[in-house]
Amino acid sequence: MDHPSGERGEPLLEMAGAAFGYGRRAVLRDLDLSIARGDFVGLVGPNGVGKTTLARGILGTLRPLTGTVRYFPRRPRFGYVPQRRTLDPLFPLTTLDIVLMARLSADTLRPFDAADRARAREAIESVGLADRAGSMYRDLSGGLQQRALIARALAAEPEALVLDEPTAGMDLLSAAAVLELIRELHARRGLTVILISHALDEVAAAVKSLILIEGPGRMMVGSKESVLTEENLTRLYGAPIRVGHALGGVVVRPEAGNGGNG
Amino acid sequence: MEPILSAFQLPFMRAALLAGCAAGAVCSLLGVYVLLNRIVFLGAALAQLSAAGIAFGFLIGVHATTPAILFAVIGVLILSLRPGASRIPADGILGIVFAVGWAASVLMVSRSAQGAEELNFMLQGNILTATHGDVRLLLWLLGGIGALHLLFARPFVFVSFDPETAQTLGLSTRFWSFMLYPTIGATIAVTIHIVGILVVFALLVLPPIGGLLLGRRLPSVFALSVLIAVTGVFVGLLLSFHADLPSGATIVAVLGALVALARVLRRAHA
Repeated sequence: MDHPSGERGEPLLEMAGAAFGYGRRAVLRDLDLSIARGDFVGLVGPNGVGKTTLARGILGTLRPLTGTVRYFPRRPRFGYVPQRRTLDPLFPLTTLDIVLMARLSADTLRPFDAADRARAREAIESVGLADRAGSMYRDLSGGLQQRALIARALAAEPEALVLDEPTAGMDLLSAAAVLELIRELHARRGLTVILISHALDEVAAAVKSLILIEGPGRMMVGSKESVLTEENLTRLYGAPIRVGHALGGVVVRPEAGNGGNG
Repeated sequence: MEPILSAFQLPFMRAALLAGCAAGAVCSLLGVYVLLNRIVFLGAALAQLSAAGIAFGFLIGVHATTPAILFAVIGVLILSLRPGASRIPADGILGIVFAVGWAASVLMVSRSAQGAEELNFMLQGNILTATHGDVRLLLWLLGGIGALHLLFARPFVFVSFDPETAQTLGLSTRFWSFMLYPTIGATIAVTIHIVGILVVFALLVLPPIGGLLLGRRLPSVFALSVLIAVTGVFVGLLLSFHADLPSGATIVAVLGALVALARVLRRAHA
């Protein structure tokens, strides 16, 4: 589980002139993008701009309307962590039940065996939830639920991890702990990580490079220093944005007097 | 105790008990998915669509079960497509199906010879008139649905809980939804003809609520749901026999009381 197939730096996927959308309506178009193995990429942009749509395109669950998406040498095993709020707490499932879902394969008739259970428990342990394996998922705090979902993604033995707004709705400490866990997984396992968020400074503190979606046909890709500039962000939000550094991280704030409209 | 249970020595009561228990078990099993997927109104709309199918059968003079299944399965397939760009909310579409299905039933039955009497029978149903053929049909249905869910409970639950991740891991959400939803439609269509709309809808909703209140994990929720449904049918039939009450309404009232009891037990336990 510690060494994903393929060498760090080798291409994982490439998009060329890709458009993604629903029905015939393109939410994103003219996307040219490449992600390499071992990358730690942030996917950022304002709410509703199409971040989740692009994530679906990367995962291969949404086919491009035009253009191509190529994987090297084949579609990698993805571990996906969806937005927590999309999961209904009505379901009476334990942490272990949820993590075991990742062990369901196309052969749905095959019962879970000892190896599946061992993988699931190993994943649960790796996110620090060993004592919560039998707890009901709905009874866990937001931070622990997020850890459970990351454990499920890890139980799939992924080559790449895609996390959609993993810190949404969390308090400061829980969010920091989840981001630290993601950073550690990237460093320790060499996993390719694609982190989706609308919280710019939070993502900037964690990732190496950024994909900034500005609109249907406008996207910026590069190092976080080249993407997160005052000029780019002011254009994106249509209001003056300041970018600074504090406590060793990037801080992004609307200029004084422009923070009340959003 | 023996004089009370002697009601089931009568052949029609035995058939009603078997039919009710089989319908109860199958509806309450599928009802857990109906509740978890928060599609209770879909159950009501499908029940009405099945009733329209039965009315259509009356009108053209064919056995009612076939058009009822056809209407329900076609309806559920269309409803499960969920066009993303539609300006009509999903609940609104179900409301249209419910209202138009109801009106279509009334209009079609009004053109048949027996008219209102048939409509009344169709809407209320009468479990006491269940035949051996009905019981056989329901037992087959129970066996089929039970086997399907024993074999495929895990993908059904995964796709219901988190379709996005299921798809990422290679499960076809479309395939599993198409396996689940038409089974719900066909079950409603078959059972409605035998026990009536009211009882079918109650069996789809009330026992699973009780199961979710009392059960800790999914297997126990399914088991408790079936147990509550079978208990409701058994006690309801006995009460209706001895107090000379309408059987369907009595079963639903008992199911309601069992859910209230489950709520009390849940609170006491909490």
